[in-house]
Amino acid sequence: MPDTTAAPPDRRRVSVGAALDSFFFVLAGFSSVWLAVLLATESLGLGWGLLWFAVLFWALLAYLVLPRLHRILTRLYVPNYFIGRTRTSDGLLGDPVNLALNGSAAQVHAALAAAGWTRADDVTVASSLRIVSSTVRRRSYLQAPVSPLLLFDRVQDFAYQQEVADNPAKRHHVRFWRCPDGWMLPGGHRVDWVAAGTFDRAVGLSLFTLQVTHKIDEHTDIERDHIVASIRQAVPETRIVLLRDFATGYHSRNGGGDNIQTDGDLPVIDLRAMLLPGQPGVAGAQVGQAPGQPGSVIEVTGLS
Amino acid sequence: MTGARSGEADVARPRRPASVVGGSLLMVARALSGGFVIVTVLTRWQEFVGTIEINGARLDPVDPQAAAAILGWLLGSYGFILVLYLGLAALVFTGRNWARVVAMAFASASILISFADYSLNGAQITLRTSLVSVTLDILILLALSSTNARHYARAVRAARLERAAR
Repeated sequence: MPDTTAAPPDRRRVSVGAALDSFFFVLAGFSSVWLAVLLATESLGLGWGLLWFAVLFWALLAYLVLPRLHRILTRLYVPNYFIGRTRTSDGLLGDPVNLALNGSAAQVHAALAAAGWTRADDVTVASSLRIVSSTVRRRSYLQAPVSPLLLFDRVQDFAYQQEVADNPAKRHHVRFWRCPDGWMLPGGHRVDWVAAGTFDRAVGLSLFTLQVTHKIDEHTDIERDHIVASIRQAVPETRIVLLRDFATGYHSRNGGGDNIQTDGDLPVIDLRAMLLPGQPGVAGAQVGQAPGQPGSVIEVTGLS
Repeated sequence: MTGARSGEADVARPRRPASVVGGSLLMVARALSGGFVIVTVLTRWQEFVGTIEINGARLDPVDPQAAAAILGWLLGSYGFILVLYLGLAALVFTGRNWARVVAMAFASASILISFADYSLNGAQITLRTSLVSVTLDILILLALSSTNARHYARAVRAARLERAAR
């Protein structure tokens, strides 16, 4: 078939602007390394100012140099298609995707609110200031923003969290991404949303980026099952399709250097039968699409 | 920085990321540090007029007026460049992509010249010499070359084209 070897239809055009951007991006990465060397050299000549300069050096390294180097390197060798893992803003592998949902945005929001979850604010100047002020005044900030993680090349659409006993270092949290139109999970399951739920157990230093961040609990399956159980309890119409061994079970690390382990099961939470106040007809019409009775759990296991 | 939820707002008015705000502020700081040099020269005018040389010979003892004119002309051009640079910072802030690229080119050229001086001539880059300006240039380049800054400039351009098409 000689025809098929002709010019591929969507060959990427390399524009001058994109090439320039890449050049500056990489040059900035190398320059920042040089700046770190300059600051380190300078700090050796400062006697009493050493501590102050060391803090500056750490901030530069953790928040500017390492992220840029990670960005450059991960762009080269971390795959950008769906592998069941989110990515941090530096391009490192982040929390595992361990939930999927079917239903409208309104249904997802209503179900989570009913299950006692609080929506996290977006990261803005105002919310950042509020984190600082609530930390200083030791007040809790229920809607504190969560850090951005990327899937489908974009930041989560929204995130929900539950505080634990007035301890700002610990919290349940789950991030949601709307799947692109027509997109299917590996294995051909069509879902509307995928989500990544993890439990923050402490505040600490990230191993790879040296940044201050939340450390997550290793047992991500417990958090996953907690989210599913809380929604099932609050919304009796929920159906669960449990994809057994969706991924192989694994032990690994996320972008912050925390261990994670999972059995690889993926629960699909089906909220399409959920009745919303004010529009009962719409939800009722969709009941036929969802498999199983309200409240049922269907397990899907591999055939071979 | 923007999710699908703000997709509609993206077209009308993209949200300015911190990297663009920080990058523009650093450019202003860079211009101000240049202004500080001008003020320093003005306050010690006679000293600096004495350093003007032509063909290796001091000009001041021979023709003090010409020496002062040359220094004034140099300072004036530098001040003019700084004002242009401030304008560039404002354009970067409003999301002009070409302004961002030009600002990055300036920063890169300055960094590369300093680096060549440092690695080839063994120039000392310390707080007393050029560490502050080199730091500012590198931070400007880092901020403006970030993915957020790039996406913002592209989004502003797309929004402008869309408004023009209507």
